[in-house]
Amino acid sequence: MSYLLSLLSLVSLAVESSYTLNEKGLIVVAIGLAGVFIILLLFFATIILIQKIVGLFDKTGKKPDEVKE
Amino acid sequence: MDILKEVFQGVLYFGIGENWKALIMYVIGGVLIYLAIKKNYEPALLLPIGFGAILVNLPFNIVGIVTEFVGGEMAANGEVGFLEVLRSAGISTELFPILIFIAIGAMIDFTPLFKNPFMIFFGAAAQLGIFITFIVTLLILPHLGIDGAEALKLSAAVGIIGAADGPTTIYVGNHFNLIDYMGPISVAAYSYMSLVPIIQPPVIRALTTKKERMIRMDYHEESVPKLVKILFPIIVTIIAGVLVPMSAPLVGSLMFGNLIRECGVLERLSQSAQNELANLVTLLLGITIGSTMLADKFINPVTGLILLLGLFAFIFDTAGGVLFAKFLNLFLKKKVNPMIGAAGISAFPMSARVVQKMAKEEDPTNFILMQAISANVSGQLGSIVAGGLVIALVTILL
Repeated sequence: MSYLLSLLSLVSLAVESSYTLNEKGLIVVAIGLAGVFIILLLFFATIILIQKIVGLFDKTGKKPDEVKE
Repeated sequence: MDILKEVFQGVLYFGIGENWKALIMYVIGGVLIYLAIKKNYEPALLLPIGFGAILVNLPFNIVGIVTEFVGGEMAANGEVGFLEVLRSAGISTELFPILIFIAIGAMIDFTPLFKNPFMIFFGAAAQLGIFITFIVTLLILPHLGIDGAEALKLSAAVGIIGAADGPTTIYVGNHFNLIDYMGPISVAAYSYMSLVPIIQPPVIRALTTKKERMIRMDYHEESVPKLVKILFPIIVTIIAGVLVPMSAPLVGSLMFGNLIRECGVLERLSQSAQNELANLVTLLLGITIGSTMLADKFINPVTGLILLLGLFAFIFDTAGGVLFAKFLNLFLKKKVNPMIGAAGISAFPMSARVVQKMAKEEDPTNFILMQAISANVSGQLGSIVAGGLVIALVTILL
């Protein structure tokens, strides 16, 4: 973990010193856009996983309250 | 003569320096009030913003930082008016946007998303405008004399207008301490949100064929267990808080509001968050934002640029969502109506309604509102995650 943190701080130091304004902009765009997709992918996985787990409870008889739509 | 000058110093004020610009701000405030009342464009915000803009530009700024003549020049006299008190307490501390998010969380029903979880990706694709606008702003600002860290911060705040999410825009702008630009940034964010029914349809039509707009989509009419609705806000808060800590205040407050709504034992608090809290904070937020529209800071070329780029961001958000849906259709057996992608922006529920209206125009029996709502609530999540990521990345790069 400490190696990872040192690596991250090294990367951020390198970024601060060596990139031009436009390159910094491109970094924000690339990582930002990919980041939004990755995090929403995790939210997607969360929804699927919760529904599966709660569905299992259903089958084992411990039925949680249902909200009829 | 001196007595007359003393009595009419409010009138004489406009003849000193560039104080005449205040008169233009009265007109701008009047236009915002007109749009709110006559055109019904986000009246809850545009009206207080418009009135705040008039108030703060009255002679000697009695409601903001009080000024007076000192040796023929205007100078702050150390006193603060009530709008400055509200700004320091509610905007500078980021309290108002956070409270608004609790209210929004209490209003959002994620059920349509649970029934169509796949729609969450449109909430990501429709954030494209944020990032395109960010880079375009960054390319333009140096030509207006804004460079370095200031350009990076301002580009981030201008890009976030594309989040189609007023509180997130204010949160990001304030995080980077862009007080001088808060007026145009907020006005752009809220004005374009209310103009979604005008901005989105031409973009959608330009990028889709009639046949694509007529695509029908299945909707799974199943009940969603209450436990799913309770676990979702808790787990999402943890994931967002761990991966993008900068988004924790936004995601956390949104999900807190949602948990109050879904837990089933805090009905009164949920109603209070949805009504009293939302109304009170909206009221104070609007007039406080208006108070940042001081003439000498608002009337400049950067304001025009911010307003223009805000529109640009909304257009590219819409295009991003639609093009992503069309891209998916290259691989999917059951095609998605590409208009759904446009509902991935955060303007809830306006964008979903626009998409349904357009689908109905093409085929009166086509009903895609629920899918559009799913994409729309995903846009809420996408915009705050994008806001958190932009803050985190720009902070590292400053």
